[in-house]
Amino acid sequence: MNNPIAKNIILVIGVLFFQLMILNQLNLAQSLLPLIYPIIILSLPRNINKSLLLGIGFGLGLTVDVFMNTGGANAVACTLVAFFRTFFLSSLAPSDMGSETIRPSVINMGFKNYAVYIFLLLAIHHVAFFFLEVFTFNEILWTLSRIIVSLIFSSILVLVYQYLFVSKKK
Amino acid sequence: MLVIGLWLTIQQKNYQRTAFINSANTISGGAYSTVNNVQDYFHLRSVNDELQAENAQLRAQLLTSLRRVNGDYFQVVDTLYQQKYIYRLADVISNNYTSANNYITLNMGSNDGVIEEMGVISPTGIVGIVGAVSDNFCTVISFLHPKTEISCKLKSNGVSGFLKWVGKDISKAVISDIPITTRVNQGDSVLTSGYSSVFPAGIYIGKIVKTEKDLENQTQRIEVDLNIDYSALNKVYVVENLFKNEIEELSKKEEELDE
Repeated sequence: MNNPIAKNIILVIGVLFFQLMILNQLNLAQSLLPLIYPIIILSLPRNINKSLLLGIGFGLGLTVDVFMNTGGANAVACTLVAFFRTFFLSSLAPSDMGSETIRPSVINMGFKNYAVYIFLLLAIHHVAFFFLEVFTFNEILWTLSRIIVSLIFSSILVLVYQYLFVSKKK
Repeated sequence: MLVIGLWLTIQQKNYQRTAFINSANTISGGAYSTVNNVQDYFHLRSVNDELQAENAQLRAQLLTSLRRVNGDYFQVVDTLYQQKYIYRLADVISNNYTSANNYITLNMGSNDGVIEEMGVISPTGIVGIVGAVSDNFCTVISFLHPKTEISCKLKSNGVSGFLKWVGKDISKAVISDIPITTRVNQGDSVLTSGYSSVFPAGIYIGKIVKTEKDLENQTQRIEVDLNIDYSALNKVYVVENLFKNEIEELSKKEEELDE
């Protein structure tokens, strides 16, 4: 399992399966739709080519759109996440944290910085996605409450994922 | 890329049918149906109950279970009756009901004779309208979607209106175009009207729980408690109206007469 490409493919398939076949099918509550799959974009290596990053974001979002029947809402949200990732990484992750190829994770960024990193980027994703999904500013409070509840849940799930799967390898 | 994404989102909102990006394709349809094969076993009991209840209801309508009134049966001569609706039993392989726009994916497509804009019902009520079809799968625009409007009527007085989901609660829907002067009884049943050529007439949808007067528009806001449980859809029927083309041609001619 040292081949990074195989590792990436397993990560993508695993996360998408969990998102689409388990989280989406559970239909937890009317206000709750945790979206954790942007973790794929968030944990790509730090020095990745910028246009490749945007391309991966768009492709990933479009894949999820096909499964969720959401037109292009996920594609837009993911492209935004991929676009803003660089800014947040440069301010939240110290550049002397070792190799430039390192993947952002809770270990090499520290709990506080990593939590801020995923919370802000997931917030961008959720705001874009939920507003594009309803496509109206009517009942804005209801949409906002859906965003906040789902965002809290998604962030917790991503942190749990980090401690379960990423920490062990160290 | 942002522009493409936004364009895809907007063009989905504009048209009556689902966008060409939808879950009725081989990859997502296949994945959903594989996972559903496993999930099916957990629902067997409730599906069985539902179908048995429907069987009992249909049995009650059989000629043999009707009481003789005048000593003679009404004879059913089948040249008098022509088949109008065909029902195809389909499996729900993906069901969403917590989004603002909900979709359902079924394991039936154009190979099974399903085409767009056919109605989908379950033993307990109205499910939705077929929005996109591939060879083996179709995507249904659920009743729980702001685009879906169902023509319905009240059982006691036959007044008709449009039933719409208003969001948040999956067991509630609203009729908002009945005039303020019409008397509406609480607890009255709401049935499909059969005017739309998508659904057969007389399917029980739910009962009225609340009415509010809207003085501004001179209408009433009638809240309906839906009989169907959208969180437990497993087996559904795709309804084909054999006279749909004829009805649509007629209404086209009507429009031409207006011009």
